[in-house]
Amino acid sequence: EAAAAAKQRQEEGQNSGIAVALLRADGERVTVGALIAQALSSASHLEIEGERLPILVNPPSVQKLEVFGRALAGCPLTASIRCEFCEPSAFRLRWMLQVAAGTASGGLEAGLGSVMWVPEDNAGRTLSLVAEADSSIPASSRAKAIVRIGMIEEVSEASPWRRDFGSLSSRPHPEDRAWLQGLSPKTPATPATATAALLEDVEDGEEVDDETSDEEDDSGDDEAYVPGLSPRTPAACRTPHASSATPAASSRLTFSGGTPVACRTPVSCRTPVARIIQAACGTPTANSAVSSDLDWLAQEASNAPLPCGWSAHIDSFKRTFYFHKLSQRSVWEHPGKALYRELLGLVQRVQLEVPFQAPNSWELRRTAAEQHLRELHQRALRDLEGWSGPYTSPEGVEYYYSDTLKTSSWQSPIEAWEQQLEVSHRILGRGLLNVETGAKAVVRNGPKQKAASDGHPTHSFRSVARGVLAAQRLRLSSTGCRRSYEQDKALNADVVRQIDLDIPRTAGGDPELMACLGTARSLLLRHAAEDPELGYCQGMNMVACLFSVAARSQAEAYARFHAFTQLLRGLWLPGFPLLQEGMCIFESLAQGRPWFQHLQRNDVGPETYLPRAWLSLFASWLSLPARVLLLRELEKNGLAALLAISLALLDHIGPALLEQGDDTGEILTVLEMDRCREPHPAALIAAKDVWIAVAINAAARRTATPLAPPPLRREGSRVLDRHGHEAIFGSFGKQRRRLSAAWAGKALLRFSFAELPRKSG
Amino acid sequence: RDYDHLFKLVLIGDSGAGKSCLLLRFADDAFTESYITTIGVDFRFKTIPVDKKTIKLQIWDTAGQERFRTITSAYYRGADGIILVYDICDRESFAHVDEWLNEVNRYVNESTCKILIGNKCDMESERQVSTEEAKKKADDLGIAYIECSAKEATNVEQAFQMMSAELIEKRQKQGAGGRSGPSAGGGVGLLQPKNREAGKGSCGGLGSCGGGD
Repeated sequence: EAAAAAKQRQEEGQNSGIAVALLRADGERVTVGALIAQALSSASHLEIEGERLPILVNPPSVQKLEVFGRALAGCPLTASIRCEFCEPSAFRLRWMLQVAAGTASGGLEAGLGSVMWVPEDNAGRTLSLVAEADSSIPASSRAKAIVRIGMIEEVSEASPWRRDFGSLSSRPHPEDRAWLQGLSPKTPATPATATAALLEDVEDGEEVDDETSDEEDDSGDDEAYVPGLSPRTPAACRTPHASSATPAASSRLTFSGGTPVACRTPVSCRTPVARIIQAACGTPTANSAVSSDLDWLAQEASNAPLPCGWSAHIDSFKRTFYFHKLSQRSVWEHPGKALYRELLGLVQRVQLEVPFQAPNSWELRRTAAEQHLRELHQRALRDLEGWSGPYTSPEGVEYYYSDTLKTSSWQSPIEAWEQQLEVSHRILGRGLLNVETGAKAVVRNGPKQKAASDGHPTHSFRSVARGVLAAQRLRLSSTGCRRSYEQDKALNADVVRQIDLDIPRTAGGDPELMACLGTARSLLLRHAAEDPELGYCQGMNMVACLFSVAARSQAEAYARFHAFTQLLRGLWLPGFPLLQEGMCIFESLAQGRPWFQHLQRNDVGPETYLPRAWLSLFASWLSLPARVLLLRELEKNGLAALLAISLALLDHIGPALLEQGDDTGEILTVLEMDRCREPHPAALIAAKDVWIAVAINAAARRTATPLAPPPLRREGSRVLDRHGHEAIFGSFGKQRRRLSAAWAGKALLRFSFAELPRKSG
Repeated sequence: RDYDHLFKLVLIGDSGAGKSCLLLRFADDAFTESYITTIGVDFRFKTIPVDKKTIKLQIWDTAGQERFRTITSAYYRGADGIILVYDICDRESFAHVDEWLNEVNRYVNESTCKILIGNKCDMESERQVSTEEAKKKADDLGIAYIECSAKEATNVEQAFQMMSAELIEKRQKQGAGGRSGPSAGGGVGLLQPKNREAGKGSCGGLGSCGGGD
């Protein structure tokens, strides 16, 4: 009113003698003659006789903030907000949790958005909901509202309900029989045999024992509880349902905006999860912040199936609880719904933070979805680290063993995680990106799934997870490992250091290679110990990893890797003798090719691009599947195959090389061979087959020009090159002699020997 | 020609010092945890403005493992600048600085521009080589010193700028004092490593030893 009066005065031309003016935020006066509404909304200050007073017209404010539900640990609460002069979305809803019982309320942020699952293990703390105006709108004292929801309840440990384990209902899960316990992977019990029946009898007996003991130390701590075979009620028993003991605190809901005007909000306590969400969604308040488009998610959550490995049971109070046989965990909350809760929280948070109309909202939402999937992926892999398998039982059935839980299982632990990943994929796709796909399509070949989840398809998870489990199996199976550990100790510390430096730099982010890094490392260590002269050379890490991926077992991988490195030993030996020789043969074979002449004209010799390609077995040029395909050929023909593949590849990019003209930089970039230039594997194999015969011939004839005499000198018993480095490493075994003869060439040997300066006398 | 000067730089230093990451940060302004070991040599071009001049840098990234020196040493020859990288969290890589300089000085003349870079300066808590010590070392060697972090993009651009400015100055001095043969100019046709024979030589050397046994 004062502002309106001021405007009037300003327009009257200060007849009253008091100088009054309306000022905008930038200090300018509001133009005389503007419409009242406009003038008021654009003004930020009122100036009376030089004194400035801030004014705010029609500030957004909270009219009503309501919370539905009861503050029970592990149960949902929903909020609804009604406000004036703005959209509900302008307010952020934050759920604040008391740091610890007895301290000032609202210290920790426990969640965002209109639905909140009360965190477990927080009994006794006060929860409050804060609605705060977005920073983009001018704030006023009424733009904030707090509802104190009350203390989080939990049924105390000494509660009478906690007793009575004796009447655990035995409603076995259909797959219950398949879960058996053994102490080592060697002794799994068989399903559906007499043994199994016997075990069940034993189980029953144990159950009785457990119950009595449990009742005895009922007041004692639950940590000391020894996992038995029977399903148990959860250690800290929380009732998800309303029951006779209802602490008064739960119904004390207060609203206190920044203003002294306090409103009371109705307390409505509806229990079943889905109904609460729906009630909140369908609330007649038009301004409700809960968008009704999440109905489907709530519905799906209420129909969620039990994840693999869980079974449902009913206790004597007809309450349902869930039991996870493997980890011996019992919970009240439906384990499938926990996943939905997490996803719902994410979807809501992102929808709140990134509205659909926001610029690049799709990108932001996609990033959020991807990040969540990646985290889930990591969590799954960490969880699976304790598992190994598959092993085969005497009956030929595959089973898995967990070293951490000391348990065997007939069911693959990967499946449960896969199921979770699939659900997450689908829900995030629909909830955040509006991509509607069936569960199967999301995982396999849905046209849109690629956009929604680039790089995280579930099938890649499967192969990685299998790799993790298989690696564990190899680690646990004792044969063949002891020897390699002994050899590691004998290894030069520098070699181990270099290998450990390079192992993390081998996969380049490829999940399949990453799963094989452990195997690759042990191949390299074992090989370096067996052949100290060759030792370890950068590039061999890629080769070892490739063999680990291609082979079915570590033993096979090692045998093939060992044979291959012996065949092409000179490729990595100090001084790279075979590399030098191979490049000479390469030059002689490529002589007639236009691309080769073009490269020569631009001073780009094969030493610029071949060492990288050869020493790493084309890791820089070809994708993993192509390399696995070509591996057999390389093992068979060695140097000739290296030559043939290189020539075929360069023939393939030849036209692109010629196109670059005389720009050396561009030529080298083409030689880096972007993955998009990679030829189709079939085409490459065909092209390679054309070259292979010529290459075999050339490698056998060794038409390469003789090498220049080496500038060597002798110092005592050592042979030094011109830099003073020792030219011989280690001793010469039979193998070395054979290989020298085979690969370095007889003529070369004679020639060099003659050049060696004689010791005087 | 869309540049005023072309300089050839070579990155050297112990394996794992972060040479490839420095280059990736400088050339693409990126950093990745999932990079791959450099085998032999890798290269990048980058054009930058220095003192109103356009400078094209041809940067060779070399493998750090000792075994690769037979291949990488071919690239020192004809280099205008040498960038010697060590890891401030790895005392050993610092101790090898002298060794690297000796190695390089066999192929380049004393006047070739050199710079010492202490990489990974973001990991202050794991530091093993103090700035003062490294500074003193660089002074003793008569080369410039700077601490960088490829991960956090600290001083990376500056290091290359510093080097380029010094190279321009040197090039201009040379221009004023008359060109002293093709070796001084640099810039053209330097891609070809010049000591192919040396490489073959060491190969022959091994062969001979096999025969002499």
